[in-house]
Amino acid sequence: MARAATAGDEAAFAEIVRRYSPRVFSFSSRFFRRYEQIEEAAQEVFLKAFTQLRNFEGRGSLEGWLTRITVTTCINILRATKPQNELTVSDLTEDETVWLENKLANVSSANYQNEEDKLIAADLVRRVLETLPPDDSLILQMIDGEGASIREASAATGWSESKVKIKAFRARRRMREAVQKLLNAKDGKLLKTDKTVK
Amino acid sequence: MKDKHILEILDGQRFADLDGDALERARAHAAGCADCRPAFEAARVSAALLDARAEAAAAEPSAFFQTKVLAAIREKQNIRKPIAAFWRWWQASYPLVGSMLFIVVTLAVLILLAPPSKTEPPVATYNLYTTDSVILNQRPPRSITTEQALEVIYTERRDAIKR
Repeated sequence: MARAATAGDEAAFAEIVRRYSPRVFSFSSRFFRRYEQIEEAAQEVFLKAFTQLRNFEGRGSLEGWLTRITVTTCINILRATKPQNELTVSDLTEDETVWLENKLANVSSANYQNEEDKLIAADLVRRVLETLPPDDSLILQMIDGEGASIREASAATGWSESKVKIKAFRARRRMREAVQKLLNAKDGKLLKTDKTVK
Repeated sequence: MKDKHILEILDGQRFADLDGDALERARAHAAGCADCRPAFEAARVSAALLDARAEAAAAEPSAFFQTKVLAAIREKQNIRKPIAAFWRWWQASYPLVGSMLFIVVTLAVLILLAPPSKTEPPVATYNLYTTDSVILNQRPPRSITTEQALEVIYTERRDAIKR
């Protein structure tokens, strides 16, 4: 199919788009919050793939090749945009503050795990991740969030395994420090709980 | 692992991957250390946030996404290959454009190559009918020039006045 697309077969490339666009969208979702940004990035990925298809020599899967293009494209887009300022506690919504308080107090009731709380947490983490460099954000989501191995992350990004390990270490520290600032900013109130640490 | 500080342990791997021994050590240290306790809590909260992120549904491509991509590719190709685009346009419209060009060129050639007119500018000519010739139904004399006509008229008037 890749060979046919390289030869100019539009139907073959259309099939590539149809087959792999969910994966490209899934990966782009890790970098952007708004749907328009995700779609724009995905479109850019396929445009690049079309022009670089002749460079795909068949080593490895087409899916892996497209994933690497997605990562590179999304990181380049983010680097070109103005970096987000760090998230402060005044930027949090009331729901997000309540979520943090519950999490800190280690509340594990059924209510805490409902869909609404999950949405609140998902939105909060996206905002925190936006304050990190895009490659740190990606590594955290892949390894710490989705449980990908170092090897899998290396294959997806095209980075060496040692580079992935170093990036993961620094990304965790940055994320931890960003969250720590949020927790500390509430006058240490959140951290003065006498509840048992989990 | 034994001699590593808690922060190195927390940053060195996923929070969920901390084994029982390492986690217990980190927890015990955090409970007693005012500096490390916030870091431990932040790492725990970060792990929970990332779990929530992983569970969130990813965006799906719309039904028109494939069409948009193909249209963008065609547009990019047209920008990059104006000659190819011109050729496609020419193939679609050459009968009409060709015939129009042919007509214009033919007219231009005819105009440029037409021989110049050698005739003298026309002069006002008319056949001179005298009164006698009309009455007698005689054929008019051959055509004369304007000057000749004027000469005849003024001569007749002069003759009429003399009489």
